[in-house]
Order: sequence, then structure tokens, then C-alpha cells
Amino acid sequence: MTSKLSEELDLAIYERGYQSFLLKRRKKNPLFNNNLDSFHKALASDNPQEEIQSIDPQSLYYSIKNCSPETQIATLPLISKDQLTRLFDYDVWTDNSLNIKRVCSWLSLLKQSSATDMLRKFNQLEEEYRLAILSPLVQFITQEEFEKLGEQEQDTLFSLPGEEIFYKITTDDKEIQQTIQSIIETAMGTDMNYTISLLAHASYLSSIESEELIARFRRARMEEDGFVTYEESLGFFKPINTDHLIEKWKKESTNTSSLLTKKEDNFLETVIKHISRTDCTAFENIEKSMTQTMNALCSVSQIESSDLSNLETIYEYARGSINLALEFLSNKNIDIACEILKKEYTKSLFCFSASMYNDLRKHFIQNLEKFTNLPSNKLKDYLYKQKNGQILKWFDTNGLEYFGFERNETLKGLFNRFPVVPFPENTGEKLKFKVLSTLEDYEKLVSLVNTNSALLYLSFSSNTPLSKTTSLDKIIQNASIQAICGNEFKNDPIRQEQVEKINNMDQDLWQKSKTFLLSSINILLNKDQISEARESYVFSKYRNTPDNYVFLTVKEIENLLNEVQKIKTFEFDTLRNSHSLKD
Amino acid sequence: MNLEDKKKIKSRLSGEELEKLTQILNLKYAHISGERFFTIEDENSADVILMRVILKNTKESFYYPVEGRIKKDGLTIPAKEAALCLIDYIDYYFDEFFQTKEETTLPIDWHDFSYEGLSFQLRGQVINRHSEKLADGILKH
Repeated sequence: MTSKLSEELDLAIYERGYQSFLLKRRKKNPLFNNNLDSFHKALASDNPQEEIQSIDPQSLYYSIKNCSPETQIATLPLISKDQLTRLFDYDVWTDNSLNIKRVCSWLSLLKQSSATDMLRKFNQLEEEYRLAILSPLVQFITQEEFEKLGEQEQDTLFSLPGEEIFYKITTDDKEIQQTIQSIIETAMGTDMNYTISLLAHASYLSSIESEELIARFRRARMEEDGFVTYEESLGFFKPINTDHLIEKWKKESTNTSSLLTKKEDNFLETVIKHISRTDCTAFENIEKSMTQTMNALCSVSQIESSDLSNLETIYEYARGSINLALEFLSNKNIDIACEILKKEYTKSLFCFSASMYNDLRKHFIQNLEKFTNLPSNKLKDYLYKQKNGQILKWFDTNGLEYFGFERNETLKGLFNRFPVVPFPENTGEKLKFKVLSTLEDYEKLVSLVNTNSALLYLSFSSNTPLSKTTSLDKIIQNASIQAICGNEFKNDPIRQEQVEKINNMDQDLWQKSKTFLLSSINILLNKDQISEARESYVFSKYRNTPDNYVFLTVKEIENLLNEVQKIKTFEFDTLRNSHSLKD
Repeated sequence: MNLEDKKKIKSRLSGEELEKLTQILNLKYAHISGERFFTIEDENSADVILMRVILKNTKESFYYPVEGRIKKDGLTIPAKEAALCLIDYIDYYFDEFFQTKEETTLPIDWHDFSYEGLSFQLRGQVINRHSEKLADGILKH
């Protein structure tokens, strides 16, 4: 447990970026499932030890964690010294401190294979690891010291053969006690000199010092795997200049995705499979580069390397971003995509996507600045400093009243450190999201932003600032009612005679009035293709396909008008009162 | 103890504090709790601090109350701190619960636990309150 609930802040949860949205996840995670298949094949082979020892340590760790205890017991004696060290590096640390309980769980598993295997593997660990494990737990006691102790205390000690040297296990935890005692007793059976030396060293070395030493070595090894510091991790989200990658790779090619036969095929996976069949070296390099990129995101998300379920989420985000960049730059051309993956670092592709998200976010904030009185400078500042958590908190505190629930949640999804898009079929009470992972997802988000921007533009045109008492929906609805009553599209107070006019309209007249208004808005949003106003609220930098934001905007207004079957006087009285208070 | 006396006992956590903790809990597990959400209850008693964290859906067809209790007698820290400690441990349990794909369960009856030097008891059982209510309705008829 890394943080206590009572001390947790919502800001910290938002900053991590992976917790606050209900995600509809892919069922299979290729990183874990592909490795699990090859792991089982290795175990079932004629020479399992050789096959197991040829597996990359991180892949092996995930495979071992995801298999049954029986398979773990069978596998652990076969792994190499390096793989064992890495397994401990990934699994037995919490908040950069050694977790003795987890160490003992692994050693207990080994003991189920045999006590000799347990000792053999324990001895394969670096000396610093062994001392860091034992020094907080064992105390070496000489005969003179033993004789000075009371009877009760003497009873708690264990003796070595000859009863001249004693040791104490300084923990109340029975499982830890049993494991440590088991190691020492097995060691006594094989090499007494080594046992005495180990106990003496462990007792006289400072436990803090020994843990610090192994922590340093562990940090160096983890950094090699890509588990970088928080600051370096944050660097992955820093916008880059996307122009040079676009100039280098974007071709006028037509989509030659003949290999992408199934709709649910992920483009990145298809490209990787293609490379694996044609260039093994490149495939291995790409897998390694992708794993390093994914590992680098753990720090900013504050996820431990042993937290497999949340690691899967982060990996899905990372692969989604890399896929988006690949689809965009290659125009979904498999051959070009293969070249891109072979020649560009996956970090560059991730950063390219991060820049795509950032440009879209900047565009929306610019529209807030242009068309509302909302504190866009603050939001711009948060965006520049990559304080996504602050932005989400702002939307949480304020956005609901301005934008309504669904729109607010969608905008939060855009500004989340790892962007998410609303799931297409949203039934149930909670809004579900999916990881933004394809060009299609990105274009949906662009469309949503353009639609919201068009609505902001219309609300601005209706002469009413967005406020907590006057939401975007209410402004548009009210201005639409005014227009239907024959007035300008302005958010002026609805008068009693207008209420009566609307309520007295028959269905046919209401329908015609609505249609006329909506087609006028359609023309307004579409006209002046090169107008400054239109350019300011339409985002087109990375678009491949024509935008349907006009259709969506008009649809939203239509939905708002459909809610006005009969005007309820008191609702518009409230709106009128809020105006008079403002006046 | 009568209702008047009960009302006089101050709640260890204010309504605002409970609301804040509930909000954090729901935010922390939003990505894996599905259609379910958390609520936190703080039961007043002269002898015992009892905190209840409930994971449930709207229909209450999934209803999982996890209760923690500490005897006030012999407590060396303020009651509020003890209540927060209980909540922290229950949160730790739910972390394990979701990490192990909801396979880590608690004893149905009170069982001893300790955390950060504090001894307490926990229990929890998943029930289908919706079905129970339907069954009750049928029996009453």
C-alpha cells in the first residue's frame, strides 16, 4: 500500500491518470498473453531449464506471476541467477523499501519444491540482498551474551550445534520466522562455516545500510529496464515538434491495409506480427523499446513494478498512444508503418501522440478564452506545466455547472494524462470510457471538441457569458426559443407572451419553426469556409477526414429543443431572475 | 442508551470528512469498480468505534459491507485517529480485493487484525440485498 486513504488527495489520483475513469478494457493484453504462451511452451519443452533461462527477465516475471502456484513451484528452481535477482527487483520492493513478507513468500514457494532448492536460490542472490534480508531479522549471540540473559529470553533463542553460538529471529510474524529459520537450518546442514559467517555479518551490519546498498544496485538495474525517475517519466508527455516526423513519413499513399482483414485487428499488433515474420532482430529491438517506454510511464503514474493489474492499464494506454502515432504517420499503410517502427524510437512515437493530445487541448482552452469569461489563463498555465490533475479538478469543481455532466466528463477524458474517449454504447449509470488508441478515436475526440467549440461560439454570439447559473445548454436553449419566437438568437429573458406563444403552438408549427432555426444555424456554422471565426473554433491540424461537427452541433441543439415540449414558466422565471440579479 | 444520549455522542468524523473520504474512495477505484460505488458509515457507540465501508450497486444486487471495529477501552490514540486507521486498512483490503480480481475475501464473523500497532476486528460478506428484499416481500404476502 503506497498511500493511506485518509491522507490521499483527489488531486494526486487525477495526476496518476489511470484511476478516475471507468474503462472498458480489451479482454486480452498482448504483452502478458503472448509471453504466457511462450513460457508454457518453454516449460513443456525437452530442455525446460535452457528454454526458461533464455526468456527475458521481465517477461518471465509476468509469466510466473500469472501462472498457478504449482507452476511457480516447478519454475523457480529452473531460473537463472540474473532472472532471480530481477524477479526480486520487480516484486519485493514497496516504495523503495524491501518488503520482507514478499521475500519470504517467494522463499516459501521455493521451499515447497525443496529446502535445498530454497537455500540454493537464496545463495544465488547477491550478498547485499542476502544481508539486507537477514540483518533486520537475525541477531547473533555468543555464549557469554547468552549466559547474561534471563531464562525466558534464553528460551526464545535458537542454538547452532555445539550450543556455543546462538541466534535470535527478531520478528513476531510466524511466517517470516519459519522461513528464516528454515534457511538457517538448511544452511547448517550443508556448510556450518558459511552459516556462522552469514549470521555474524547479518547481525553486525546495520540493516539500514545494507538495504540502502541493495536499493542503489536495484535502482540502477531498474533504470536499465526503463523504470526511470518521476521527472524523466514526466518528460514523455512534453510536447515535441511534430512537423519533422510528419515531413519525414506522411505520404500521399492510399490505404493498403490488405493485411488488416478483421475490423478488431489492432494496427500496431498487425505491424509487429508482420515484422516478427520478416526481421527477427528488428522485432526483438522493437519489443524491448516498447517495454522500456511502457515501464517509463510507471513513475508518473506511481505504479510499482509488481502491481500487475494496474501495469496492464498503463501498458494499454502506452500501446494506444504508439498505435495512434503509427496510424497517423503511416496513413495505415503497413509497409510504411514497418519502416517507422524499425527506424523511430517508440518513445518518439509516444511523444508524438502526446503532442497531438496537447494541441487539441490547447485549442479547446483557446476557445474557452475567446468565447467565455472562464479562467483560461489558469488552465493554460496548468497545461503548460503538465498539471493534468489540476485541470481535472477544475472541471470537477466547476465544469458540471457550465457544461452538464456528460460533456464535462468527456472534456475531463480529453485532459486526462492518458486521454480516454466515451465508449460508444453507454448504458448503465456510470459513463464508460475506452483508452484512446486509434486514429478513429482521435477523430471522434476532435469532433467532440469542435462540436463543443461551436456551441461555445454560438453561446458567445447569443451575448451571454457562461456562468454557474447559466449553463451552456440553458444559453443555447433560451436563445433558440427567442429565435423561434421571431427574435434574434440572443439569450434575452423569456417574456410571458413568448411562453404562451410557444405553449400554444401546434406540433406542426413547432416542428417547422425548429427546422428553420436548425437550418439557419447549419448555414451559420458552415458559411465562410475561410472565415476567421470558423477557423478559430475548428481544429484541423491532424485531420484526415472531413469533420461532421456541424451535424453534431445541430443535433445537440435539436436534442435541447426536444426537451422543450411545453415551456414551464417557472424555469424561465428562474432564468429571468438570474438576468435581473446580474443587471 | 436512549436516543437522546446517543445523539449527544459526537461523531468521530464529520459529515464533510466522511463525504470527502467517500469521494476519494470512489475516485481511486473508478477504473475497476464497474457499476458499483462506495459509501462510508460511522456508527456511534460509547464502547466501540465501528466503521462500515460498503461497495454496492444501485439495485443492491451486489452489496458488500466491510465492517471494522475497535474497542474504545484501552485505546491509546484519539478515537478519530483510530477511525481513520480502520478506514485506511479497509481501503488496503479493497486494494487487494480488486488486485486479486475480487477473490480475496474477509471472514464472515469478526476476526482479529492488526495494523500500525492497532488491534481491531474486521468482517465482511457479499450479499444480494435486492433478492433478499424480493424474498421478504413474497414471504410477507
